[in-house]
Amino acid sequence: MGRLFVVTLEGKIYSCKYCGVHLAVSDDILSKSFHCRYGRAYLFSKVANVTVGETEERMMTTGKHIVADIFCVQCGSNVGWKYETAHEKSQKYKEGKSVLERFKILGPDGSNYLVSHEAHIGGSDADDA
Amino acid sequence: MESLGIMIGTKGVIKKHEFVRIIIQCLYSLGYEKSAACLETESNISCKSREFESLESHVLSASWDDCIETLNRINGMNDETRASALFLVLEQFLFECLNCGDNSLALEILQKRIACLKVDKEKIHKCAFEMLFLKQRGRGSVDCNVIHELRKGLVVKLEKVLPPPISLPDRRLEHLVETAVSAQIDNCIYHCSDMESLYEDHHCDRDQFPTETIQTLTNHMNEVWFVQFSNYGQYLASSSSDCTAIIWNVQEDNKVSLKHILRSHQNPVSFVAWSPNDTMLLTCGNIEVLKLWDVETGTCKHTFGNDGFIVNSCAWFPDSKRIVCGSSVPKNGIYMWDCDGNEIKAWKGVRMPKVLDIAVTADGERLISILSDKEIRILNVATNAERVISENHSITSLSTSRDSKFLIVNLNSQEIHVWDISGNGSEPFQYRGHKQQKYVIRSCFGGFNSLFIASGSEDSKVYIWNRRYSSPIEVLSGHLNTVNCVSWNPRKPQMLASASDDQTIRIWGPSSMFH
Repeated sequence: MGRLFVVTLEGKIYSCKYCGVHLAVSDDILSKSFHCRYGRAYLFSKVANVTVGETEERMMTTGKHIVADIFCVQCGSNVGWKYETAHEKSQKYKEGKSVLERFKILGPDGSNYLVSHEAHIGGSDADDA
Repeated sequence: MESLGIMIGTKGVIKKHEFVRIIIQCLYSLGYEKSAACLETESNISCKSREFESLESHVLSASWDDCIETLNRINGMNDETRASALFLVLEQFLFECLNCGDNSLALEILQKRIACLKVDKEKIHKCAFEMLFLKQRGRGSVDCNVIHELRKGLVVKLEKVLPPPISLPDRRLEHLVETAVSAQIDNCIYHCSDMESLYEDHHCDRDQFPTETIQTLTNHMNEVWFVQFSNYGQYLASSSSDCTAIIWNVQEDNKVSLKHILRSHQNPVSFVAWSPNDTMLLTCGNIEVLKLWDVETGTCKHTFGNDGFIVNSCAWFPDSKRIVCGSSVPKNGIYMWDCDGNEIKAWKGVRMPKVLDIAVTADGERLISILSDKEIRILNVATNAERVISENHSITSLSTSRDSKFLIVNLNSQEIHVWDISGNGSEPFQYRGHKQQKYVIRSCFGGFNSLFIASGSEDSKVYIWNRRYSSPIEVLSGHLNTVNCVSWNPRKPQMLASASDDQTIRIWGPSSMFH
């Protein structure tokens, strides 16, 4: 209750690096092989305490997708994106799922993530072998 | 007999002779026997069908065999109905045989004719039992007048059992009119007053419905998070992140004026609850203690809890003496106190999840709590029976209807669900249209006969639904920021209040209420 509605999660929690709000649990990780501008990113089956931005079509390493950026509900930090639609059949499994950028979140043990040296410029997405 | 094929009316669905027949029935039931008989003669239509008339005469003259033969000959009756009617007749026949002392005939009726009827076995057993009882009373124990009354009673019973067109359902014309009126009321979107007259189709105009801001209250210094009218509609309470709560007077001329500013909280106040007798107010915040105030004087009478015990929602029992509150800290649980701070009961412990919202139905029978953001737990206070409803999305607020029958929850997925509290329904009524993603937005029942639902929204507007339709019927603009909470005045169904992040409270009313 109270103005901002924030859900608390149970389990091994990934939280917003800036304000600590719970975003997801490690049980919901579908893949750790995603990438974004700042390094690695994880695909989650569901995330909490985020607001969804405008949907737009984006070209990603695996093809064209319709995605929406997601923001921490408390501090507004852009923590990742959500897949709304995938154009290619092989990428359909991503629909409805969200990616959290490892650089923007604290891991379950409170661990931070340093920007990777192999940061991809311009491209973000994953492949799931 | 009038030609059976004539239709009247513009849609071709009314058969003239049927229409006249139910008018005659209506005249009889209203007590206008002379008019009814006159109409029967004039139209040549008889209220009672020929078959029924012959049945009636057979019963009154006790020609039982003729009676049974008539019943067997009637078409358009299913076997079950026929058996019921035969049973009634044979029952009376049996009774009269016993009364005459003709025991052997009575026994024969019971064994050979009643026993083989396809009716409920219970009825047959009861009949046999009564027969034994009557045998003991002996012959002639019941006099002629009573017999005659019993026969007339049998005719009435037969009238109810036999199907149309042999016999008409009771008060058929009244029923048809009531059906039409109910349909008009059901279709009345802005329903705000009872059907006044049969002379005109019922229709409530939109200009009777709250759609305009009639007053803006600006006394709060920060976001207003909660607003609620008192139970008898004479006060309004509001609470704000400016750490105060305010009690307002609602005057007869519908103007709202300041009564008391309640200062004492150290943190934002997010919830208030009126005692059922409107003499006391509870206030609490989501990182605050619970305070009890006297409405008349505006003084704080008691503070519950302390630093360790944080109350985020509370509710009263109908006796205005007991309150219950829930804590958003897990394990703190739900507590029931009296107004002096004595603990009456507690539900707590290691397994108690955090309580996000709590309510008590107006009849005091059920305690409803939102646990762990997706569970609605309905506890029957007297029997301790529990019903749990699990939602798929997080619940941000809870409210109940005044008739104690329904609860309403706002979900994070921009849906509002209304659940039947006592039923076992697995599907809620669903309403959509408003915006809600980040904040706690509250909704409530209200309006004429609680036929409506209103909710706040993150797009600065107030949304109103007629409970019969899942899309809003009105969207009220005016606030400059998120509308957090709305409340309908229980005594003035055309008055609505809304609380917003723009630091104001708006009072809404119909365009005819402008002053």
